[in-house]
Amino acid sequence: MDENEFDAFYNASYRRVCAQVYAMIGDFDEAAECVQEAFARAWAHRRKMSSVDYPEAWVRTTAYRLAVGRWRRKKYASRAADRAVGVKMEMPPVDETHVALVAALKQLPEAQRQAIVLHHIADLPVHQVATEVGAPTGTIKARLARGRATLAELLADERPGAVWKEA
Amino acid sequence: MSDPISRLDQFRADTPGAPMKSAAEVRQRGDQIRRRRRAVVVAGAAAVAAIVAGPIIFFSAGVGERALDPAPPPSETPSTTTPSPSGSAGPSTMTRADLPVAEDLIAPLEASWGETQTYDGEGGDAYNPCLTKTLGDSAADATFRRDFAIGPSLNAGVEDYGMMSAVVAEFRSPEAAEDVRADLSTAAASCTPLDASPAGSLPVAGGVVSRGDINVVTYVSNDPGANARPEIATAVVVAEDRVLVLTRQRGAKEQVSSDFLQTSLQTSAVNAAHRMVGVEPPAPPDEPASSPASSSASSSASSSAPAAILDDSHLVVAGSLPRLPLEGESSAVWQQIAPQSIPTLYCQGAWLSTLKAAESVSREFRLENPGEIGKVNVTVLEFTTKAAADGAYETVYDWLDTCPASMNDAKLFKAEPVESIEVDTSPAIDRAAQTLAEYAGDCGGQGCDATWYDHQTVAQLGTRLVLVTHAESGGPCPPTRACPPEDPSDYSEWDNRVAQTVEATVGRAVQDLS
Repeated sequence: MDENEFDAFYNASYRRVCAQVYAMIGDFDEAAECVQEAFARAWAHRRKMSSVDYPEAWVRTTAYRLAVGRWRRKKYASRAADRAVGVKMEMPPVDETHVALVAALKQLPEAQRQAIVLHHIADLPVHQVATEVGAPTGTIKARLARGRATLAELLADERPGAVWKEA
Repeated sequence: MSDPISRLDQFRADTPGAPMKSAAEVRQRGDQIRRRRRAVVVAGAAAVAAIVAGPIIFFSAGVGERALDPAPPPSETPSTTTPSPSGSAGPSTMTRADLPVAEDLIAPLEASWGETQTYDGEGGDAYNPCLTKTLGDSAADATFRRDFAIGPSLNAGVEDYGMMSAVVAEFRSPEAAEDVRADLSTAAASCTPLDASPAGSLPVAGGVVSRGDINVVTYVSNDPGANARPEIATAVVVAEDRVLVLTRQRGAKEQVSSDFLQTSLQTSAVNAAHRMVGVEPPAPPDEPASSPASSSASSSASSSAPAAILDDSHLVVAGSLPRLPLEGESSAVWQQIAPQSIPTLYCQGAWLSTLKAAESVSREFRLENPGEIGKVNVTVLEFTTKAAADGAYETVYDWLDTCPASMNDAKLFKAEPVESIEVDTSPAIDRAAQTLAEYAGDCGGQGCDATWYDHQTVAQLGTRLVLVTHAESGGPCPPTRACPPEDPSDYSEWDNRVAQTVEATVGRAVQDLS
C-alpha cells in the first residue's frame, strides 16, 4: 500500500468505519480516536496491509479492540489525580443525531450488537460477519434474529421521532 | 413496534460526521509508530555491531594521500535505504530532545565532552566548513544544532581533541533524507571550500542507522600560529526520515591515536543517531549489559549440558527500555539490578524450575524516583524439544489466565483476561499472550492506595520461551498521562512503553534464531 493508495483508502473509509465503531461502542469521541489510531497502525504496517484481503475490516477490528481495551482500563480510572504528567486533549462535541439508536444498541449483549452493526450498518453478508467475529454462520443468524427482536422492543419504548428531534 | 431495520439503514445512510485528521497526519502518526517499534527492536544489538562495522582503512598521518574507501559489504551496511513507500508529510515532530547529549559522545582518555550551546535551527555560523549548503537549504522540515567542546579535565585543547557539533534535521520522507545524506557525504569527502585533502573514510552502521559514513579531510591552515594540519571529520547518517551531521574539528597530532579517534566518532555517531529517533543509545559492551545474568531459576543449565545456548546476549539491556516520563521534562532511567530471587511474573504459580527448561537466563531492572516506580523482569528459557516448550507455554498461559500469584504476598486487586498479542520481532515469534494484573503496592507498612500495574507477557519461538514483566506503579490512578484518564490518548504512552519493553526483550531473546 503506497501513500496514494492509503490516502484514498483513508478518505473513503474513515467516516464509515467511525460510524460503525460508534454504533458498536456507543461513544463517539472514543470511536473517532480509536479509528484514527487504527488507520495510523495500518500505515505503520502497510506492507502487511498489502496482503490483507479486507483492509477496512482490519481497521474496524483494530479500532474495536482498541476501544474495548481502553474501556476496560477506564474502569479503574475514576479516582483522584495522582501521577498525571500531562493535560488531556479536548475533543469536539459529540454528534448526537443517532443517540437513541446507539443507546438502544448499547443495551444489547456485545455479541448481538456486533453482529447487528456488521450486518446492518457495515453491510456485510452473514458469512463475512461470521469470518470477522470468528463464529459459525448459524450463530450469527441467531444473534441477528435475537438482536433485531430486542432492538425493536427497545426502540418501541422511545418517544416517536425522538432520535431525529434530538439532533 | 418500531422497525429496527429501517432505523439501522437510516443510520448507515446518514453516517454521522466525525472529526477527521488529514491523511498526511495519520500517516505521520503511523510513521512514528513504525519508527519507534523498529528502533527499539534493533537498539539492543547496535553497539557492538557499530564498533566493528567493517574494515577501517584510515590514513590519519598520510596527509595528502588518498585513503582507500572500503565500501562495506552489504551485510555490514544494513539496507541502504529502507524500501518503504514515500514517507510522511505534515508538521515536524523533531525537538531539541532529538539532539545528542554529552554522554552520547565518546571522549578520549579521562576527558569528557561538554555542551556549549544549542540552537533551534543551525546557528549563526557554519557548523561545518566543508558544507556549503545547510540542511535548511535542503528543505528540512526542522533542524536543531548543539555544539560541544572537550571538557577541562584533560590538559589539552581544541587543537588536540577538537570541537564537535551535531545537527539533526527531519525531512518529508526517508527518500528525501537519503538524498540529502548522499549529497552531504559527497561534499564532506571533497571539502572543496578548504581545498582539503581526503584522509580516510569509514562506514557508520548498526542499530537504527539506515545508512551513514564518516569522511575525514585535512587542510593547510591560514593561521600562522597553527602547529598542525587541521582535520575535519564529518559523519553523515540517515535514520528513517531524519539526518544527522556530526562534525569534529581538531588539529591532527601524532600523540592521539587515530584509531581511537575515528572509532570514537563512529560510536558517537551511532549513539547520536539513536538519540535522533528518540531511542536511548545502546549501552557500551562493558557496562552492566554484559554483567553476569541472574542465576538461572532452572539451574539445569547444568553440568550435563553440552554447550550453552543462552547467555547474556539474549537479555535486553537497560538502554533499550523505554524511559518513563515524569512531571515536567524529566524522565526516569532504568537500572539493571543485582540478580534477584524473585518470580519473573506476579501471576506465576510456581518457580520456573518446575517448567524443566534445559537452560535459563534472567535479568531485572528497576526505576526509582526516588522510590520504586517501575520494574522489568525478563527470563529466557530454552527447552530441548518443541513439545516441551509448548507444554511450558501452556503452563505459563494458565498462570496468566488464573493468576494464582502464589509466589507473591501482595494482595491481588484485579487480573485482566489473558489475550493474544502481536510482537514485532525478527525473526517472527510463533505466539505471545499478555495480561495485566493490579496488586497492592508497598507503602512501608502504612495504609495507602499504591498499586502496581504489571503487564505480564509470555512469547514463544520454537523451543524458546520469553517471560517479561513491565510493571509501573500507580494509585489511585493507573500510570496514564492524565489522572483520571478521560481521553483514549491518555493511555497511548503507557501502551507504547509496554510494547517497547516487550519488543525489546523478546526481540533480543530470539535474535539468534533467524
